[in-house]
Amino acid sequence: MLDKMGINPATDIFEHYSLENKEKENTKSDFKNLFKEKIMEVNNLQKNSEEMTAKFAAGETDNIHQVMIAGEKAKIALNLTTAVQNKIVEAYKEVMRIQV
Amino acid sequence: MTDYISLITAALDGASRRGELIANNIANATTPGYKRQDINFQQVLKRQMNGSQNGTRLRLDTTDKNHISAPGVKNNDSFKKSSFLEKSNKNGSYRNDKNNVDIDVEVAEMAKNSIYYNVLTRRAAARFSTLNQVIEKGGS
Amino acid sequence: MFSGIDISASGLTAQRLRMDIISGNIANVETTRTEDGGPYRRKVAVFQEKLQNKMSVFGSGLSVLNDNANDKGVEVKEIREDQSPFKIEYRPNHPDADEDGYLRLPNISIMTEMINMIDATRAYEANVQAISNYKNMAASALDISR
Repeated sequence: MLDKMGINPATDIFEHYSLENKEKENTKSDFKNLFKEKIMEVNNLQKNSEEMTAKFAAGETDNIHQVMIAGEKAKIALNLTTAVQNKIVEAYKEVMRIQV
Repeated sequence: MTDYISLITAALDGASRRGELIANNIANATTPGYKRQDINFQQVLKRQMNGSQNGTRLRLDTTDKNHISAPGVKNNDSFKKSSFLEKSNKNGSYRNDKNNVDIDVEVAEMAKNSIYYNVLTRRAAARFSTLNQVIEKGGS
Repeated sequence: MFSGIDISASGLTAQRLRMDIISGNIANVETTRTEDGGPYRRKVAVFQEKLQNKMSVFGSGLSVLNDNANDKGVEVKEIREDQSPFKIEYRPNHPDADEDGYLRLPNISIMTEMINMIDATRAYEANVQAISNYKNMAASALDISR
């Protein structure tokens, strides 16, 4: 559902690393790029939301629901990405605690 | 971040000043000889936004003494300068007392201005809440 | 959204002007002397759809300031005098009666004016309701984002 709204920073990451995925050799650089891409998306949504609000403030649009939707999209994307990031860090810490 | 907040604050300053003027028009709806007053703060805002150097529209130019300053602590009266004030001299031909206030138009303008104000306060609140959230929850 | 409110405001202005004219007709139902001589003629407001951003004589002073103001809605094009014939009554004692004792009275029917007055009032209220609805819509749009 979120992907239909154009918000998918987190689900892509999980899809990418499901067990069916066979590209385990390049996981390191892939993860970095994938995460970077998703961060860019979040940043774009944020910029778009600021643009919409600026347009509204200048009186160039009176489309209130579009302004609010753009804002909410940016917020959700950011929250989702933050939550995913936290989970990943937690998982990493968990792994590091494993005694060999 | 602060550019965005400054922009919203300047717009809110303008809207609240305009609300005052409209309320004054309504109060003087039957005053003989009174002419309606208004400010087109959005026009001023737009001009300052478009002229910004760094490419984004969020920063307000403050190179001229007539520019609205990015609001600091002291500068809530940026819109009280009378150079922004506009007075309509049009005389509606059916009033003998030379008053050109149309109460219906004033009420409609008041409604529009309030809606505008409410949208921008919501946007500012959402921005602050996001920032707080990132500070509290982002990065463990 | 905002232009919708302007449209309703133009309706309010037009109906209010129409009420003023109706009141004038009712007040002058027995007026036999006017500036140009002769009885008062019934006045009618002619409404027209406002399609352009021209400021009409009866419009508000708003469009001077705002590019987008009042670009649609209704406006009063003119106040026309009803050319239907005057009523004629036999009142020989009236100072304005002619030599045969007949008096020309304004072509105003109180009944018609009252009905029009109710109509204008209802239309005015409907426009007020429309503005109220716009305000509610805007308020609920704000709830999209906390």
